[in-house]
This record gives sequence, C-alpha cells and structure tokens, in this order.
Amino acid sequence: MKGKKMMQLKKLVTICIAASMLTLSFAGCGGNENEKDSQVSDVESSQEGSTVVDTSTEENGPDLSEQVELVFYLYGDAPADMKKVEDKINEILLEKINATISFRHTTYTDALSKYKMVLSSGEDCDLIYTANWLEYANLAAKQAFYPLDELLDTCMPEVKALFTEEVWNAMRIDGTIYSVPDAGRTTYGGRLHVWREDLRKKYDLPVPDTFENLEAYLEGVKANEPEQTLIARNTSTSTTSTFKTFDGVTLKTFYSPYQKGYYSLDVDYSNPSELFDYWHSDLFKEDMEAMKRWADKGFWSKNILSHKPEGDISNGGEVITNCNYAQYLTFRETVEKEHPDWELAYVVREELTGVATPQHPTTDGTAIAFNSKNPERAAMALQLFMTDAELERLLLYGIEGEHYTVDANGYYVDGPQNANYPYEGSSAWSLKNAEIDLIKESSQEMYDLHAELGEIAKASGYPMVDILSGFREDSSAYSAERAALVSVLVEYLTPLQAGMVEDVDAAIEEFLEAAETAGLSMIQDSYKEQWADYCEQYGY
Amino acid sequence: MKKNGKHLFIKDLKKNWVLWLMLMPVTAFFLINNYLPMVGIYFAFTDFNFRDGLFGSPFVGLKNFEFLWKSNILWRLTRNTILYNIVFILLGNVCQAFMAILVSLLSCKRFKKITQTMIFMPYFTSYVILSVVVYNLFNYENGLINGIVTNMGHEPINFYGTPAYWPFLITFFHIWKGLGYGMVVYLATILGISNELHEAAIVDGANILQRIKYIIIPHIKPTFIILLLYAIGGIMRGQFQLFYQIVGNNGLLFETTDIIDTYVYRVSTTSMEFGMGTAAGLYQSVFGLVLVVTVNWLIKRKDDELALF
Repeated sequence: MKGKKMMQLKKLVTICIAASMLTLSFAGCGGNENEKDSQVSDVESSQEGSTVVDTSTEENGPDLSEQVELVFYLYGDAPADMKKVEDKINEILLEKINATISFRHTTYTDALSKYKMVLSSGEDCDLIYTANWLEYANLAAKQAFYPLDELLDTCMPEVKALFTEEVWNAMRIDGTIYSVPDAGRTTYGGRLHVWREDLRKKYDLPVPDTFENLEAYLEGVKANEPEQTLIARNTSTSTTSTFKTFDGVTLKTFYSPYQKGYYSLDVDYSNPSELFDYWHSDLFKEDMEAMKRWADKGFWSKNILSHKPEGDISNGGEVITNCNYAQYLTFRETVEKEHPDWELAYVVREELTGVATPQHPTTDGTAIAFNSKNPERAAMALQLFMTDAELERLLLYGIEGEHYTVDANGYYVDGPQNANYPYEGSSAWSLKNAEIDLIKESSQEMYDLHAELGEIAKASGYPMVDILSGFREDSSAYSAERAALVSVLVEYLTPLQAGMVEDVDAAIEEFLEAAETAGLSMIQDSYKEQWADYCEQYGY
Repeated sequence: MKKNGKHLFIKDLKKNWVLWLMLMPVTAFFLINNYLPMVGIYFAFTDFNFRDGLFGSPFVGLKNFEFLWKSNILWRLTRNTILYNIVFILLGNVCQAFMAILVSLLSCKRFKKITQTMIFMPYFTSYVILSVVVYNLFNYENGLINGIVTNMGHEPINFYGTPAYWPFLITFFHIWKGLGYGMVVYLATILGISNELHEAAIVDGANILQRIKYIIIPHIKPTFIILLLYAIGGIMRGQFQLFYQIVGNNGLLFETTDIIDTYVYRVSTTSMEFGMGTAAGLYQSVFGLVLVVTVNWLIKRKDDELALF
C-alpha cells in the first residue's frame, strides 16, 4: 500500500518538475513580455530551480515525507463545531498529503485590520481567504501573497483546469495570479430592495419600484405607525468600492443606472470609457436634497451618525433594506418563523435599470500567504478542498448526518446539530465548486433569478465582465492626497448623505472645497488617465 | 572626570552586583518593549511592501508625512489633542486632589470606604459601556436629558449634531471615569501627613478650612507637580478609546472632537499605507518630546528640586 503511494508520489513529483521546466522555458522565450512579468518569473524560476535540485537529490518524494502543519485563515466567526470538523478533515489530509491543517477565523469585527496584521506580522499562515472587498488587489500589489502561476501548473493542475483563461486573467495583479477564485455558480450582482409587504398592503401604499414611490411608501408607514423605525443604516469609512460613508444613501442610488466608481467617477455601462463626475453634477445635488428631505421627515434617527439602531427588517428593526438575494432568503426564513403574519417583497435593481454584470472572480478567493513555509503543500491542500467532494463538503457543511443530510433530490437539508455548524458556516466560500457542492432547495429560486439576470447581462454590451471590478487602481502617485480625501469624506460627505446639514447647497460647496484642498482634482485626473488606459487595453 | 567615571562604574558593579542584577529584568523589559520597537520608526520613511520587508522597501523620505498637512487639519488636530489633554490633566488632578481631601476628612470609617469604592467603580467600566451610557443620556429621540427637556416644554436638543457640547461632555466623562483611580495617590499622600501637625493646629484653634489650606495643600503640592510633569509627556497622545467610542465616525462633531489618534486610525484603516500611521505616531512623539524638555527646562529654572531631570 505504502509502496504504491510512493510510486504515485514519485510520478507526481516528476510531472511537477517536467511541467515547471516547460513553463520555465516558455518564460525564457517570452521576450515580448513586459519587464515586471519577467522579473517575477525570474524570482520564481530561481525558487523553482532549488526545488528541482531538492527533488532530484532525494529520490523518494521529499515533499510529502515530512508531516507539516498548515494554517488556514478564514473570514468571520468560527462555528461551534469547527474543531470537530477540523479533526475529521485532518484525518483525510494526513492520509492524502501528510499534512494537518488548523483553521483560524478573523471574526467579523475589524476583519481587514486583522488580515493586514496576520500578513505583516509574520504569523504562521499558509492559506488565506481573499476578496476584492478585503482589498485583495492592494494586498497582492504589496506582495502579501505567494505568486501562484507556477504552483498552479505544478501542484494544482485540476484547479487550473476549473477556470477559463479569461477568469485567470481577471485574477492577475500586475501580471501575476495571487489567488484562486471560487468555482461556484455564476451570480450577477442582484441587488434587491426588500420591504415589508404586509404594511404596504395594510395601508394601501405604492410599490417602491421608483424613488418617488419609495418615498410615498415610507411616508405612509410613518404616518400610520409613527413608532416604527423605518431605516437603520450604518456609517462607514469604507473606501474600497463606492466612497459611500452613510449607507442610507444607497436607497436613492439604487434607482440610478450608474455603477458607483471611485472618487465619484461613475461608470455608465452603455459607454464605459466615459466617466461621469457625480459630485460635480446636478444629480448629486438632487440626491443630497432628497436625503435632507428624508432626514427632516424623520425617516431615520437624528443620532444615526453616532449610533446605528439595533435590528434589521426580519425583526422589525426597519421596513426597507438593500441587500442581495441570499440575505433576503435569510430574512424571509426568519420572518416566516418568528412573525408569520408579516410578509416581505422585493424588486431587483438590475430589472429596473436594465444593467446586469456578473460577479467579478476576485469576489471570493483563496491565496497562499507570502510567509507560508510550505507553499507547495498548501497548494495541494487547496486543490483537495476544491476538487475532493468529501473534503469540500466537510469544510462547507460539516459532518453528514450530524450537521446536514442530503435529500432525494440532492438538496442540502439541515441536520440535527445544524446550529453548531450551519450551511457554509465556516465562511469558506472561496472553496465552492458548482460540480460538487450542495445547495438548499430554498436557494434554487435564487439561482433561477441569477439565470434571469444572466439574460439581462447578455443583452448588455459586456455580458461576461464586470468592467468596474476588473479595474485596479494604482494610487501610489497620490496616496497622501487619497488619505486626506478619505478624512474629508467622513467629515463632510457623511452629514450630507445623512441629511444632517442646514443648507444643502452651502454644505456641498464646503465639501467640494475641502475635497479640492485635499487634492480631489489631481486624484481624479490621474484616475481618469488610468481608466482610459484600462478601457483601451481591454477594448471597452 | 570621564576616566574616573568609567573606573567608578566598574568598581560600583563589583561592589553592588546584586543590585545591578536586580536591575536586569527592568532593563530587559524596557529594551524589548520601549527601545527595540523604535526600529519601526523607519516605517515612516518607506513605501512598505510585504516581500521586501521593512529595510528592503524603497525609501521615500518625507512623503508619508504629507497627508498630515494635505487637508489643512494638522493645526486643528494638534489644537484639539493638546487642549483636551491640558484640561484633562489640570482639571483632572484638581478634582482628584479635592476629592481626596474630602474623603480623607470623613470620620465614619464604613462610610469612607463605601464612598471610595463608589468613586472608584467607573474606572472599571469599559469605554464601550461608557458610550452606551452617553448615548442613552443624550440621544435626540429618547435620551434621558431630552426627555426631561421636552417634559418641561422645550424643543429637544440635538447633541449628536452640535459640536459645541462635546468638549464639556467628553471632559466630564473622562474626569468622572478617572476620578477614583487618580484620587488614590493623593489619598496616600494625605494619610502620610503626621497626625501631630493636625493636633497641633487644632490646639492652636485652626478650623477645618485653615487646616486644609496650611497643612494638606502644601503637602500634596509636590505630588501634584510630579504627576503633572509625567502627564505632560503624553500630552500629544489622545485618549483614543474615549473619543472613538463616544464620537465614532460622526463627521458633524469632528470640529471639536477629532484628535490625532482618531484621525490616524481613520486614515490607516481605510488605506493600505503602513508608513502614514507610523509617520503620524512619530510626529506625536517628537512633538511630545520637545514639549517635555521645554517644560522641564522651565521648571528647572524656577525650582531645581521639582524638575524631573
């Protein structure tokens, strides 16, 4: 038995070497590649070279002879039975690649700060969850992750085969792949406005499919149930995507066909190369006036900037929310359980605006940390998690029969111990593989919706790509200005968006003046230049 | 003198080696925790990336400091930080000394203990809880204060939208929280005053106010000054927790509540620049150092005994 495995190993190593030599020679030939690329492959080739020496001197597969311990960092909180599942996983991993793995979670609060801490402090970390909303591109550009191009060929050929070259290109940062995307079902944005339908019916209010109707709906609820909290939204300093600082403003921008870009430079997908300067437009003024009107009408608390009210739509904490379909399903499930007399309904943004784009591959991914001591073994583990049904399901759903069961139609059903390891409770979303994973019967409708959205996307000019998410900004030329601008946003834009200013016109003027001092136009100019290059490069 | 100095040191080492040995752990502690991390100051001058590490990353000079004055708020941040700290230090110490005098003069032992414990309690509340307390007192819709105000027939006050209230509120809660802890030092000093002095004063017909003025206050004056000097070293260090928990990201209040620490937190959590955070920290430290040296020099000119060094 053992001999056979050794033989297999030897074979694997030989293939690995052969493949790496092949890529090496290609890298050598590629004279027309830009400088950065060849530099990266130089570094890799020297590393690869040393591995080649290692393997050739030790005949019997040195890679797996030594048992190693890997660390996998995941987002969010660990489910109660994580340790139990981890032990099960380790039994399999020990047998297959002579490694054990321990899972660590970042917890939800301050996850990004913890990511940076883990990656910069040299803490043990081999595999790590990445996401574009956790600054994958920035971290990768700062060399926080291990370059994967070689490893994909040598240790993860099955993973490499899961995706098209187009997807791999989308994962590249400065020409190098640093993260493996999830292979789950394609989704298309799918932003929803979800509201309390029972209240709407009770007071005979309009369906909030336009901004005016939404306002009328909220007004109606306010007039009839003055004690009910209408909107409970957060403030944030998030700059990763939309430069929104008060979340409530999404209730207005929801109806706009523009995709929110950086530095208020929005993108219209009918003409992507032309950027729309939102902050200097009448639309911005109109939006801010609407927000002020809402605040004056008491649609949200006057303290909202300091304190977000507790609760969400499923427990009466608010009457309208902006979320994705998966969140809507969770809300609906809670409402059905706790408040059977309530009812939720929704409209889909893409259906209102006629613009749908697929989720960008960088949304979920798994990377190998740069300070990983065993990148090869980590890569092998990653491949197993993504292609071995037993391992993938263990990590995503827990132990079969205990945490979940599979029904006759192949759907996932909650098991008796489900609370200790709920569906995808380990937050290992990046390991999903549509071929082998399980879905709940209730989410079938979500995938049906995404299929519909796919049709909308097809009708648009760019059905396969999300242009905006594919763009990576290089802010190094204006990092000081950017940092200053972020502070200006929190101070001046937040009150505007929350409608907490006396005079909207004056406040906008003051805001733009402060932004200008911080260097807004210089940033915008540089950004526009980069954007033009990007559009030209990809032909948008 | 210098040659002698070196000679004396070796002699002293031989003679008092046990004492030197006992000094070792403290020295190690400060070396590891206070001096070694100083190497990290270099972060402030680099464009950090993970692969090249601290010393391999490219040197960028003062570029990381630029963001501090780019938005023209360096002055406001420095002003807020220093003013708050001056008020915290002066008013805080005065209140603590005052409470210590009051408590020390209580004659019922049980009542004295209970009072002291009660005053000490807030020190143990976390800032998160403090922020909830503040919110429940001052929020617009159903805060306690606004409940009273509306019941008296007035319009509710929008505390969370008016920066002018917050210097007073923050100062009040800071002093309230630290009162019991700071009081202990003064209480110890007062208890150290010989009883004979009091007895003699009573025989001489001094009333309680005169005893406070002529016996207690002169005795706690050195303590007051030393605590003041220590505190000045940290005058550029804001109470991050206090401000961040109470004010959070409420831009409406920044005019009077934004301090260097909260600003640096906002900037460094929203951008990937490690250098900028360090740069701001360095600015605080250098400014603080200059301040301490200056104040110490001023005090030394007046009274050599009271100076720190």
